[in-house]
Amino acid sequence: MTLLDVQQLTVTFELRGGALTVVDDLNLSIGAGETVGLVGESGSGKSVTALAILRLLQPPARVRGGRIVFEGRDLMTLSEPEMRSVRGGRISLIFQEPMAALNPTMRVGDQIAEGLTAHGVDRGEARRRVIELLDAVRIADATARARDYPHQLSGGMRQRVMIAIALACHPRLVIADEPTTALDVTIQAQVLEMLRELKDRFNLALLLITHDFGVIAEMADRVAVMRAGKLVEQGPVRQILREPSHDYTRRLLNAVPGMSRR
Amino acid sequence: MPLLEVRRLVKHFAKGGGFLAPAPVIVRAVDDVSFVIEQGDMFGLVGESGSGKSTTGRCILRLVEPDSGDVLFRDVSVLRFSRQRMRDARREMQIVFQDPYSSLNPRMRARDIVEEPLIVHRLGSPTQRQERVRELFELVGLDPTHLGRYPSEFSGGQRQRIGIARALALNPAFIVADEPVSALDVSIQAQVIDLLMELRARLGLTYLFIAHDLRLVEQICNRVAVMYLGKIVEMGETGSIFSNPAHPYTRALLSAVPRLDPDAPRSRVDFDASLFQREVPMREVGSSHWAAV
Repeated sequence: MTLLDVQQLTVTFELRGGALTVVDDLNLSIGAGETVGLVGESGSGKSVTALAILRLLQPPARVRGGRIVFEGRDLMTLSEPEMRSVRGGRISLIFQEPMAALNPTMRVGDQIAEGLTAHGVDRGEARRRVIELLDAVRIADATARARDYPHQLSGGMRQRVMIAIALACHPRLVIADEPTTALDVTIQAQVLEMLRELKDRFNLALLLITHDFGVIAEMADRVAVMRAGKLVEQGPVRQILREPSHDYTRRLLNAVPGMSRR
Repeated sequence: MPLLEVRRLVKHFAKGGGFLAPAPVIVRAVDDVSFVIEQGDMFGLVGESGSGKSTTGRCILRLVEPDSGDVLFRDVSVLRFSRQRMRDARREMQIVFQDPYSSLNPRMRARDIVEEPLIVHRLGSPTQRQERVRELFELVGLDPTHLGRYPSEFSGGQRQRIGIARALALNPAFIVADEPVSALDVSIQAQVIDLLMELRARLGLTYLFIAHDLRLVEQICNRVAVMYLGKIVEMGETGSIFSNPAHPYTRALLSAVPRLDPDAPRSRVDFDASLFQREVPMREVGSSHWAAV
């Protein structure tokens, strides 16, 4: 069943010199429980696509056309209050830089609870859920860690907190924008393994934005390759990795070190 | 005679401390590190953040002064050099930095950035220097008509080429490349790596290649040392390290690298940091392969 269906999405940056198309007639769908990898290099439009889905784009960026159908509703037509209940509630977002995304002046427990109370959970229940969530993302001694500030945690732990925030309201879709790019490789492996487990446990769909084909190979069911705002190719992960049909995908894959030998 | 020999290098930092603060914590950034780089080597120094790999590279060039140990370049200790001698020695030993955005002065034109080392070392007349800058620009694959541009007018890959041109200006024999491509997109990475390899062949360069990307190191380095918390835990021929890692940390590190095959069995090994013993000496575990086990 299709959970998210992005149809002919076009996003432009309205600049003084004219409009610059950064996402160009993009079609992308994600089924319930599916992991779709969105790959591309810097400037390809993958993060803008993520923000457009959540209607978080700021000027000069503007959605010029297309539909974003999620659970049967076109998100583009929702009122702002309706959209707020979708954000964090049905669709949540994990950013690349947990240190930049977390509030440095707030205890991490309160930051997780904030999402819950904003979606109507009462405070006592929220406190209980915070500990449950910190356990779910395998943070040891959750009660004590909930009282920590972000700077007291390691990079891997911060990213776990981000994931706990994203999962707080039982979303159906998590958009993860380069979730492990800032992490060391051993920590990345732990976080990816955890994401895989949580995805199965909560039956989440995952839109995984990355530039790393290794992460794609480990995580994705399907892959979409973006370049300069356009989707150049999409398909099942094995097909894209083994028999890419588009020249750009081939070049991107060939540029991955060690691709030929492993 | 090896080109470079690092002997029992130590650099500790005090973290925290100060008036009314708890006693500082000593961070053993580089803790008794020894290795040898032969002429023509592409020597990979790998590790995760905080392993001490960059500090090691900086100590070699004395951009950071080590606490103890020795660095021998062509059998001569560079740590005992006066400032003047060290400046001369740096003609032969150069560095390429990770971030081509912060390592180039945004207010200098590309031509002046590349020319600066020649001026500092009082080499050539202005005309000769201009000629040399042009030559370097071509050597690293930049368009000499862009000599008058500022760093912001170049892409990330092009900026890294400017950084490489600057490092090559004095005709060095040895280059510390500190994560030279990790800030770049993967297709640009491949181009800059190709350039570094081509320069190695053309100019007979020797590299200390500091990196966290194991796939890249496996592809380009002939020898590798793995650092963990200031210690080298394993060192040897690249093929041997990657096919037969002996240290539990190396095994964990290699098993964490994402495979490009979705059907590859996942056999991740965890390394329990609390079991790490700092004082285990290196021993030979295979031909040209040492590990602290």
